[in-house]
Amino acid sequence: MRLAWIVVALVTLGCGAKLPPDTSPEAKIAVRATQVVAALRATLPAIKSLTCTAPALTPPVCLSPADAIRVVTRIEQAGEHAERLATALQIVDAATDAASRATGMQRVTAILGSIQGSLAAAQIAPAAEPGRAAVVAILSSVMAILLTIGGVA
Amino acid sequence: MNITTIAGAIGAINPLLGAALSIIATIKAIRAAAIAANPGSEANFPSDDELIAKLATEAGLLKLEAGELLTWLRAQEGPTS
Repeated sequence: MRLAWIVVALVTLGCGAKLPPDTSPEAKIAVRATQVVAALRATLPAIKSLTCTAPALTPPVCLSPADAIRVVTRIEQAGEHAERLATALQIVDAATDAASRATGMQRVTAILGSIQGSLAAAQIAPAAEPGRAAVVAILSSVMAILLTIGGVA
Repeated sequence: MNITTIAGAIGAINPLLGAALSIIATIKAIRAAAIAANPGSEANFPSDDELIAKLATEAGLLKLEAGELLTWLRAQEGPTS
């Protein structure tokens, strides 16, 4: 049930944000990246609730703490990349000539690739275990939102 | 075929998913009505600076919350391993 609401939240985030037609590329990227970051924040309580917290609860019915640490470490890393992305977008927004703007956008694209890499690494190999499958499903939804940024950048 | 129709069709198969799609359709309808009632609302769209600042804030919160969860998870490693 909790997972269902998370998926609803992600879908709602994904179809939100109707941007004005004259929105700049950096603003579009900022909006979509904020949606990705918000979706990742929403996964954290889910990961916590899916983690085995007592000896009676062991994998495969739940996520082992070691697996959860691996996933959350990558999510934290994605947060660091997102902070760098915000700084890079500020530089692009402040650029006064086409050359420095292009250089800035190259950096933005590289950071988006880093975020994508962190999320890809966070996805545990899909398995029959309910805990793992649920986390993979959530992260796949986040990744789907992230990939839509590629067209903007 | 709009989302309300799809929600109805899916609701016949899976009530929970149908309900979720109905909620999304309602949210979209409310948003569309709000925009229709206030055509100039797009002029109030946040500036680039504000949007980028929001990203920085959300990213900072993500790092903070992930760090807190990591601390909690490391505390769980002992009892279950």
